[in-house]
Amino acid sequence: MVFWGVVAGVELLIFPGLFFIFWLALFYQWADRKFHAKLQTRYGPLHIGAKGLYQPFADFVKLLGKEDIVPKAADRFLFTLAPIMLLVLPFTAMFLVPTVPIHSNVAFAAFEGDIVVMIFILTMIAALKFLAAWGSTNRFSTVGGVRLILQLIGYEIPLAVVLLSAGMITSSLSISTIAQRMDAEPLKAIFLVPGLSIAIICFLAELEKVPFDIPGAEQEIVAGWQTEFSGRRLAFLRLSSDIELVLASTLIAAVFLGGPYGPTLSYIPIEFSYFIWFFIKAFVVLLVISYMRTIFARFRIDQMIQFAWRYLMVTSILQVMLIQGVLAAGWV
Amino acid sequence: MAPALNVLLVCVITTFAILTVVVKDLIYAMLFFALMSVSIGGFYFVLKAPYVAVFQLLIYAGAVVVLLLVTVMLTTKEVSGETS
Repeated sequence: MVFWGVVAGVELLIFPGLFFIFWLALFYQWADRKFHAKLQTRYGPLHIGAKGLYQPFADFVKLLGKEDIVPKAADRFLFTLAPIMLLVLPFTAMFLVPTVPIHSNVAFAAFEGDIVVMIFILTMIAALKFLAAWGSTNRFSTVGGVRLILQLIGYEIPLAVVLLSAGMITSSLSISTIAQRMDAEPLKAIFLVPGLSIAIICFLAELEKVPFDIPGAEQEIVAGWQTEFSGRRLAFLRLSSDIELVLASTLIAAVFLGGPYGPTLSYIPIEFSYFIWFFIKAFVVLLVISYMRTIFARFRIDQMIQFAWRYLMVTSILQVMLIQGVLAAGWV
Repeated sequence: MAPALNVLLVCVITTFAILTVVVKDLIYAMLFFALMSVSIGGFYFVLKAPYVAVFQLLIYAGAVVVLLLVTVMLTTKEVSGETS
């Protein structure tokens, strides 16, 4: 009893939990920056650690030590609440996704229906960013927040529809079960390829990466919704966006690519195989996201809205029709 | 155990509901509405109806709050130090 309590504590705090996610987030930021730089024939982070590996951590510590300014006109409560909740929500969401399951073979907080909670958390993250923008009472922030919400109502529905279509074909609403069934029957994953591409596009918008970085367009509105943040609060926001990047790659890997489950060899421990598969799949998704943000230029606002409602929306509905057709024909 | 939790949740839900109606600031009203919806979701969860709970979260705390945000976004706010 006590032993399993200790195991759960270690799982929560250290290994697939907070400590691991924190360092993974910093590592992903490094990998993203390095890959982005390589594609642009730059060097990227270079000096701190081997090949600049500790640069994100150094940035984080530096920001923690900087002066933390709250503008006089800002709403103190929202201005403090938003960075804290923006850090808490992606951490919470990470426990719903199977990363490296240790003693059970599902995610730490898996239950039937957690993919719906995941969609809710993804929406809440964007809503909290709007609260942060509104609470700072700055023109750039407010404009950034308004753009963010405009973007949110564009990409939220297609994202929810494709995530739930993965649930339809595997007849489960739990991310861990979806991942296990994807691994057991890879044919199901093939019918979800349009959904995979839609999900990657929607997560580019969720993460405010380049073709959809309208809410933080620095040539127009300084830093968008996070213009007024500095010091500790900005450090939290940066870390939160890194964890969101981890969340996006892990979630896409789990729902569409089978997550940590995959073919394994009998003489290596199953946890090690989980770790390898999780690392490979999530990292490939990260590189795809990084590549997309390098090759595109920013959309105008009207282009983004038109694209989301005219193409993403329709394609996601077609994906659901494809799934229903496949299920009706009994192909999977 | 369970009745005490139920009573606590009902008190929390009622408080948030009253706050939603009473506060002057639109954004706070929306925030309290979101918290109330989340608490109702928790209440369903305690009542062993997890699917109702997750869809309560998705529809009310997710979609309806976003629609309210879009509405709030169309209002104007006094910017510091200036009378627009």
